[in-house]
Amino acid sequence: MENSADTVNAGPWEFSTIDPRPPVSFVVPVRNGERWIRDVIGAIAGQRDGRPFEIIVVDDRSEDRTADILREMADAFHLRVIRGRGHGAAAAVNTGVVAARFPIICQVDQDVVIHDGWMQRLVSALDDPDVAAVQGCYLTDRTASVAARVMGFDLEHRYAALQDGRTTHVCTGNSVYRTEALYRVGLFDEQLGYGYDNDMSYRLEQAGYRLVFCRAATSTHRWRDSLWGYCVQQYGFGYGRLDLVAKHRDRLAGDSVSPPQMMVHPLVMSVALLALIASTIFAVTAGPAVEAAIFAAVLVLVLALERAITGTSAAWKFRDATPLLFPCFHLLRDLAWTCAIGAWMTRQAVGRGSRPSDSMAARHADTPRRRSKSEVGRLPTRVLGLIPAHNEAATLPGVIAEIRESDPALDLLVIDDGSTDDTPDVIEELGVRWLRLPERMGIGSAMRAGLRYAARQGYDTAIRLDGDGQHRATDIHRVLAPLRAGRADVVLGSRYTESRANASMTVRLLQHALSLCLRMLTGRVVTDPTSGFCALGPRAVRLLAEHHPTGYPEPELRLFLSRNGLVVEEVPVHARPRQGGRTSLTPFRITAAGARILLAMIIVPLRTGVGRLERD
Amino acid sequence: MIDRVQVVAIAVSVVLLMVVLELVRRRKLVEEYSLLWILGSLAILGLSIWRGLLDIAARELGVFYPPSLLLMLLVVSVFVALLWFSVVLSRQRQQIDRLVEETAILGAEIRDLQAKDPAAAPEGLASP
Repeated sequence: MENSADTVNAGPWEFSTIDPRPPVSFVVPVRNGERWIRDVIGAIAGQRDGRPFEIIVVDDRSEDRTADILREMADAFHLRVIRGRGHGAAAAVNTGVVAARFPIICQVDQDVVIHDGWMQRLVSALDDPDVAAVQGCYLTDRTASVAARVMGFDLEHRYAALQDGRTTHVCTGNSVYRTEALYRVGLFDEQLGYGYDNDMSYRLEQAGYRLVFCRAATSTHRWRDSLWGYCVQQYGFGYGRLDLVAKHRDRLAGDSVSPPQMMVHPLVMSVALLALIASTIFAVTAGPAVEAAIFAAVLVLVLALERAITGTSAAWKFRDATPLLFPCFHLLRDLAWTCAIGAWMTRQAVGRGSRPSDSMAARHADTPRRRSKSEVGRLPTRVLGLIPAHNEAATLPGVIAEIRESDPALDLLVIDDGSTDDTPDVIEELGVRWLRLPERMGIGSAMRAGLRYAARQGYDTAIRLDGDGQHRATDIHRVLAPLRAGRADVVLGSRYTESRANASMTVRLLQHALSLCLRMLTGRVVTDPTSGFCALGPRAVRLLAEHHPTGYPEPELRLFLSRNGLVVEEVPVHARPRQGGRTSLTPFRITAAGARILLAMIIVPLRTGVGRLERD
Repeated sequence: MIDRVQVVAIAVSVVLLMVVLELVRRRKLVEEYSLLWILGSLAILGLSIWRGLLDIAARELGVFYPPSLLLMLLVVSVFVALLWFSVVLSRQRQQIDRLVEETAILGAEIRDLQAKDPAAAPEGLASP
């Protein structure tokens, strides 16, 4: 407590003010948190609503740039930065709690970005004097890496099973505590590296308080990105859980966030491993080796099956394929927990052995920062019409004339994708700006070149029309409208929002199958997965100038945009059959395109988002 | 106990090694890709000098007919090499994409400059 000398410690819960709303103290423990701490504190500062409010950051001996960042932010955000004792996460939270002046403590971790209204929703749940702590709900960042998404969806799925209102466990990092209650049960147990929050929850319940879960108070947890980080963290969780169970024997079956089947998993896994070891020994000593191996395999299969069922239901609920990976990741988790059981028992037996570093251990700081979803970038200012064309000499003049008639102010750029007919001459006669790719590179390359040129010429928005005349110039305004309203980053013109009547039978069937798949993967309604009519806002122009997919890019583009957290909207447009020239689609090409799209559907969700979008 | 087959095998692998080195010398083969071939021909040379190695390896691995082990090694290494070439090919495809795109943009920028000041860029560069 020597660090809280700067605090007027007048009994935090005796504070009174004219404002009827209770004042709040935010407590953020941080150790080596340079990667997210700016976002975290920015989100907290955004919660200010006029009531007395303080932000206490406990820097627990960081070795990275955290201290510099905090010094930089201290004045602008009115931070109280306190140096921790370096005794771990629980000790750092306690230091913050002791320094807090107000009767309510909002405890946010260094990797949790809270959303708007988080504080008000959680604090209002404390109006009931029996409630000691309230837990917010973590939402999964769908642009994060696979490991981080598995972690996020797993937790979100477990939260979804909670009956709204009641819980027996309030996790730290995303929660609000009544200061008085914390003092009454004696602050966090500093002996615990992980699980000190469970310990606090159990003690609060024993003291007769109620714990509440509030689904409406959302936040994004930045989970560790790498598979290794995931395993290390799970090892820590497992170890912490054993310390916890040793202290609270009656909680062996877990709590409402860690249900019994989750606690059974590592035990079954340990039995399977023991059986496997026995099988190897039997192989030498001529015991029932095969039987033991089969027994181990059956146990592991049962575990995988249970996770597969859970994963499938989660995938269905969240409309995201990531939870289908639950069996793989959770078997790894079980292994990590089994290792933790081994390490913990060794430590108990010989009284030595290394404990895992606690929950605030250093994280990888190398991956780029990503921005949260639903955040649409700047509004469009200058719009450029992009017309990719390959051998469209017959239709191009008509297309250009139509656009000029309906929208004379729109600048146009034709991208000639290695045409072999007299398209180049036609373009020059038309007097529009043009790019010429010397070889045919495909629509994706043409779009990248066009977008990069547009960006260099100072355009921040682009609209793509096809050179074959199937898109009507009169629809341009309709497609641009959501961009201008700031509702979306990308708008796709859908030809089929009403009906698909004017397409052929096979094409119709394929389109249906494709839109169903995209719907499952993106969680959005996709009526026209192959539409080429689209408007791209400033964020999309910057992203796609480097990363526009190639090949048969339209369905992959749709996935790619969702994957990178861009907001996509569909608007209905009129379609008409191509006005001339030849379609490039032959049965063979359709099959090849189908295979490519299928691959993209599997691969794109497994890639980490491209990110790297600087903030505007 | 050098027999005729062994002499032929050693000669062939030495020639292979020489060809590879000569290609590198004439810059027909970039060093980056030559390493694979040099290692390959050295391995074949090694096997033809010390023929017992194949038999020992086959016995240890439980392969009944030693030449089939040689065949399997060959197939695996060819497979790995092909995969690697596909990776190289994909990388080059991306580089070509990028170059073509940049060429198109540069052409347009030259045209823009010319439109502003006809003397700025040499004639003939602008139009294809």
